[in-house]
Amino acid sequence: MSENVKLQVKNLNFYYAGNKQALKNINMPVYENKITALIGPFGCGKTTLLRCFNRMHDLYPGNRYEGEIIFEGKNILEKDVDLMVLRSKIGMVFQKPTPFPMSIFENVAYGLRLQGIKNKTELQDRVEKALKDAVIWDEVKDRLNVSAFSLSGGQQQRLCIARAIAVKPEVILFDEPTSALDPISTSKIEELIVELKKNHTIIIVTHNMQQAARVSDYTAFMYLGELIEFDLTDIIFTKPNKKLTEDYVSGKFG
Amino acid sequence: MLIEPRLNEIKERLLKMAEIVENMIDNSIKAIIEHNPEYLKYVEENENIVDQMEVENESLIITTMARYQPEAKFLRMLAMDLFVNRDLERIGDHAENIKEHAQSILTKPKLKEYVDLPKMTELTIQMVKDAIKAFAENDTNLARDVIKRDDLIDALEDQIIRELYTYMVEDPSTIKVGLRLMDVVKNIERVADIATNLAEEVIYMKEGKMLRHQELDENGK
Repeated sequence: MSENVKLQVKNLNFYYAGNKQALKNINMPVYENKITALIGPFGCGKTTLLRCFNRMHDLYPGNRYEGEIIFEGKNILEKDVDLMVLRSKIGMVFQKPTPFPMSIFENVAYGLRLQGIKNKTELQDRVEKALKDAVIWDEVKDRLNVSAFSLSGGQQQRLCIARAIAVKPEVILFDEPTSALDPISTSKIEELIVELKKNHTIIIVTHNMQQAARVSDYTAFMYLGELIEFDLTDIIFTKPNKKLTEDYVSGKFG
Repeated sequence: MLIEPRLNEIKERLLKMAEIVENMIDNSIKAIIEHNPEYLKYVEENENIVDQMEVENESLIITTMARYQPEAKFLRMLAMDLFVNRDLERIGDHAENIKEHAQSILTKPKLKEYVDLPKMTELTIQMVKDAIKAFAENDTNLARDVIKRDDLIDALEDQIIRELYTYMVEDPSTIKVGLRLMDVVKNIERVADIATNLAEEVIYMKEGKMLRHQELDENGK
């Protein structure tokens, strides 16, 4: 595996408030411009791990990290990390589409304005580029000023992806991005995710194993807060090294 | 569809492999016809390459099945790819067999000027080329045409073997070469059979119709 490591997880433990340990000594790389899928049964810690990468757990008091996630030579779990900056570099797309109650244009422009971009032409260009990259431009270009809620679920999710990529993050975290969508929208989002890896590093949590198989380059299988196996997706889904992985991907449990 | 680039990659690899095994057969027979061992070098150089390609292709096909859960058309296509991969490797094996016979045949003087052997080889290679073309272009008409041609190959095989018998009866010193040549002809006939199988598989892939172990009806369907 001669890939560039974008994020390195080292001896990561995570405790929710009340000292419940949700992640146990996780070690894994996340490779640049690749898609890494986190899979495992309910409660295995995959979403918990995903949320460590942009410190989403900090929104709730009492949560505690131990260990390191190295990004650009620095441990992003340190207390002095600027979370605004971190989250602009490591963006996130959620399970349910979460458009803001504003126009399609403003949804994408929002993050850009937060970054201090005021020039109208630049805003327009960046919004258009993001909508094009999220393959939704053709569907919305004639109604940029209507409410984002007028879009279908699949379109809303692509708008959220446009909003995430507008601020040019290096890494995008996807938390079950298609679980609320129909099969056609799901397939569009999957193709989009594969396209996005050209310019971004992607981590995706999904309990749809087939989705992980279709889109990812690397797969991490987790169980009860532990990382059981991390390898090329080709290997995880054809000849995994651990019996537990084999049982899970062949549908024996989970 | 995310599966499509993978399917294209597999197809390209199989077409490349087909080109190599066709050339292997061609060169192995040319060595005999022109009584020149130089042609066997191509076969030797490519034997292991073809074996390696078979293993890699099989792994790619199975991984694609595991990762993309193909259904209907895509599933038949990948099943077909597995058959084609195996069939091409077997054509390569027949070229190796012919090469080994050629090495022995070339130690003796040329039995005769060959007439039917080059004809049979040319027709057989054309059957493989057309079966592969039918596979690449989903052309079931061409596939049906390939299946029909197999009878001609069988007739040529009979004719060559009859002729070899007469040589061997007349002059027992030709028996060693004669028997080797019979085996060469049988190997070519097997390659034509494989081309026929390939053509049947193309029809299965396109129409879902299983033709193996059945004769075409009078309309060629």
